[in-house]
Amino acid sequence: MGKPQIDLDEQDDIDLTPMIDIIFLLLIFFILTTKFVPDEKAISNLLPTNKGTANTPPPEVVEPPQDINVRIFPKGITRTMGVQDSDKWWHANKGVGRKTAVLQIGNGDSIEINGPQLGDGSPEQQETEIATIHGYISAKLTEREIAGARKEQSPIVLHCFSGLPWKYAIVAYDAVRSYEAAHGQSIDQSDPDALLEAREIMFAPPRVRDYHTWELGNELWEIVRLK
Amino acid sequence: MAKRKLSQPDDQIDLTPMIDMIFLLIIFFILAGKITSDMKNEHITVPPTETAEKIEIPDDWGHHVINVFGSSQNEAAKGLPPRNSIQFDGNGAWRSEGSDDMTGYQKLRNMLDDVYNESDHYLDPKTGMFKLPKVIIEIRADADTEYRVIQEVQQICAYTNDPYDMMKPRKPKNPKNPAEGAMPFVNLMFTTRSARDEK
Repeated sequence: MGKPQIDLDEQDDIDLTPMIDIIFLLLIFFILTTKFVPDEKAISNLLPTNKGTANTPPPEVVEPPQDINVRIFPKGITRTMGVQDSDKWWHANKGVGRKTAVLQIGNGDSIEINGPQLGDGSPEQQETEIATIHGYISAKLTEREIAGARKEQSPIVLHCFSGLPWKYAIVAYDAVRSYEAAHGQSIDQSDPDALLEAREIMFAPPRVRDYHTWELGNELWEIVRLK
Repeated sequence: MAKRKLSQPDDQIDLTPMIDMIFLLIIFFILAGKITSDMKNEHITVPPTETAEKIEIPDDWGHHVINVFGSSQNEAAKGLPPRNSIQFDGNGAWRSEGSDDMTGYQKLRNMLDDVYNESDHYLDPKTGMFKLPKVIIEIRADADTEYRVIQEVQQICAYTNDPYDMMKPRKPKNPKNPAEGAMPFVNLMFTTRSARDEK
């Protein structure tokens, strides 16, 4: 009586071990091959639709508000250098030029941006670098504020030399936005009518276009000389 | 004796819940792995900023990603995409060759045209003329990409210029109505990360 019972038991159970082995292998395979992109955020930007198209009547402005120009150019370029000198300098010093940039608003004091620290530094170094840029832009824009620029809603235009890394331009843009959020009129982001009243913050349109001999020098020369 | 036989199933561990869980995990990893690799390329490190917000796309809006690479020459030699090349929606089949690849810019614009034609539209509140697509274009550029490529990509999205001759504004098909034939994308996002989150 005992023996047939034991046989029956053994035949009834399916042996799950190989299945579990394979499932574990699959699980380990997928865990190892899955790569998660780190948590990313975004800065939104609304492009102007009425620029660059022909036949759009220019908006009526009694006294055009002066742009506030935020300029970023490689360290080493000076106002005394001509177009050709600037071009030669850039081609000879590209590698070093990308690493340290100068951030300047107006013609007064400027600060240096440390590229390697901003991009690949430790989180603390990155934060310090971002805080320096935010502090400088906030101080400079506050200076302009007293002169009455705010009332005219002067557009803020970002001029970054096209050969520099993207991180410089986006951090400066970020700083301007952060200043605007703290000091500007509170604007309801979901209300399209209110958004039209918001101060215009924009990246300058590209200067490098026609591929002539000294085009990069020309661009550097223009950016350094902007007021 | 009969009692011992009956109590036998209790001695064995019931494997069913464990197998269920493992299957669930496998399905999760298959799906999660696919979603992240679809549009976003893993070889891009976006720049750190402070005011960035979480990416939220409204339900009835489309979402497309323009990946711009920033790997150095050394990395490019290892088979990674070269610096300044562009990839639309992480589509492995095509990417441009660098900042001077005019055909690449044109191709990107053609892809955007297709997206424009397939999407819903709304009227531009600023001019009341342009039909804008309900699409958010995410520009996901590496921190070390040349700034110039971002400028070009913005111009291409706005479609105010002819990519082949960028000095000239694009000629409107109908001079009385510049909006006719124009396909501008104005809702752009720049992907960044927060330096604070990494601590």
